[in-house]
Amino acid sequence: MIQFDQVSKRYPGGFDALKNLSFSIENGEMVFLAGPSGAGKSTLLKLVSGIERATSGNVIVNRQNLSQLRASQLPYVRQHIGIVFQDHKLLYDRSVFDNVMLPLDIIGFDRRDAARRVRAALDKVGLLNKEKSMPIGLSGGEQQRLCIARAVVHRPSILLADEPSANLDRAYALDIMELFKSFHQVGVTVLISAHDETLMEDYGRRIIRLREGQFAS
Amino acid sequence: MKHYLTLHWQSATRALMHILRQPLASLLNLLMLSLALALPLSLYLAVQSIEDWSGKLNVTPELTIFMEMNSEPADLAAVESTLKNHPKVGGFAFIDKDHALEALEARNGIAGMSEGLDGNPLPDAFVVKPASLQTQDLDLLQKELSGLPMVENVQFDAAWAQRLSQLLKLGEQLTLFLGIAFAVALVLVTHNTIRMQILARRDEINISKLIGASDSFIRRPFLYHALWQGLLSALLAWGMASYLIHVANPVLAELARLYNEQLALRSLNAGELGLLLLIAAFLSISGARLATDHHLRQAQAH
Ligand SMILES: Nc1ncnc2c1ncn2[C@@H]1O[C@H](COP(=O)(O)OP(=O)(O)O)[C@@H](O)[C@H]1O
Ligand SMILES: [Mg+2]
Repeated sequence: MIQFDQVSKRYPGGFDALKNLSFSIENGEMVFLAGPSGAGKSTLLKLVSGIERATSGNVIVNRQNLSQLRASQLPYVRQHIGIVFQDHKLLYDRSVFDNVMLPLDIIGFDRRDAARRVRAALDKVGLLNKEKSMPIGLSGGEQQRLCIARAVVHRPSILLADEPSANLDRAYALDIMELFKSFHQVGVTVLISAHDETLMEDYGRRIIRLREGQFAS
Repeated sequence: MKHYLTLHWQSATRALMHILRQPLASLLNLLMLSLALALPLSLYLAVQSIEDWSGKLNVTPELTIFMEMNSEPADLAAVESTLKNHPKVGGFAFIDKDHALEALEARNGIAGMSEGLDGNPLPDAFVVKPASLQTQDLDLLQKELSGLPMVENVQFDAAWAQRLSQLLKLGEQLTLFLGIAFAVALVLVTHNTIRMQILARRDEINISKLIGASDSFIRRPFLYHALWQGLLSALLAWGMASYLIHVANPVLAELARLYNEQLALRSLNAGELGLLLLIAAFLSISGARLATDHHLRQAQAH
């Protein structure tokens, strides 16, 4: 479960990216986060994963209050979350396989079991035949899929995706959405942001709309 | 626990592979580090070996007091009583001038030598064993005894042994100084190597942190890299010092034979080798730790 309780985020320099937000997302729910560029979507996702910390209020993820957690504990919270970054954040000097292996290394997964998990994740996103390729040789859509494989390989209970369909044509974006839906169907809590609502409306899921750091109605 | 050990084993083997995969760069680094270790190590072994040897020589420095030729029995008695009561005197023997002459004649095999001479040319003498072998004590004792009435002069035998021991002390101090200087160098060189590696792998570190890597996960490969580097360079330094000894020993043996002595430099014993490895490991991990902590603190600030 993800719960925001009167959460504000002010960046150094004084900009208020989120203003007094309260909401909660149940376990296994699939929720969209909509809003124009600069609305605070990425900031909200970063608060959930503990990459940024709230200036005030409580962010509760998997029953842990991140606002009260010591910085040294945050990595362990993140190990239960899968993140698809807006800018991919792939390792371009490592193979597709090694990129997906990284989260398992971090958790300290047994190497042999890990290889099986990596292949399963690559299979899921349709990149099994590219495991030896380097990310730079992949198309934009394939890089996005690689990111997704890396985000789910350690079977997180929460999956966050920051504008995963940006820069993809509609057919490809729909494919990606189907992929997220399949994770939701096996019980993962999924939170996806997008500045373009047209894709979301087809899914009939809850949409949290943001504008200038507040709920837009 | 087993899981924890597995993680460390993985990091250790991967760090070693990383070193072996870049043999040239690693070798240059190792050479630099091992030279830094080999220098104080060789000096240490030389000083230790010479100390062992000089300990076996069994030279006790002695002072010889030569009396004036015209000294009276009363003067001899005065010196004797001073020696008896002096705290810095461990023991003494009186050598009467007639006995001294006899001994000289016997040693040289010239009987009746004194007959050609105008009386006995030798003075009465005392041979004094000092209680303390400290240079300062010896110098002081020599000065005090020279000041006694009717004492012609006080000679210091086996002064060379004294000088050798002073030299060895200097050698020890030099070893310590070099040891510390090169220990600092080892830490700094390791720090720099690891800093370069961190810079080269910055993206990987940042991304790893974003997806849940703890500080100790980030640090681990670098600490193991430094550990291997330290251990390997200590072994290499040991090899260098052993080789140096191997080359130097025949030359030293030749030199010592001229003086009817036996002198050989020894290599490290097992305990010392263990200590060397331990110190090298500790120093290089410290250097790596400084580099990683610095980076992690900077990353925190962003
Ligand atoms: N690290 C930062 N420092 C200062 N301001 C930031 C930072 N990150 C984002 N912002 C600002 O916060 C606002 C919200 O940004 P963001 O959460 O990235 O919005 P979105 O993802 O909806 O486009 C923007 O105006 C942006 O300029
Ligand atoms: Mg954004």
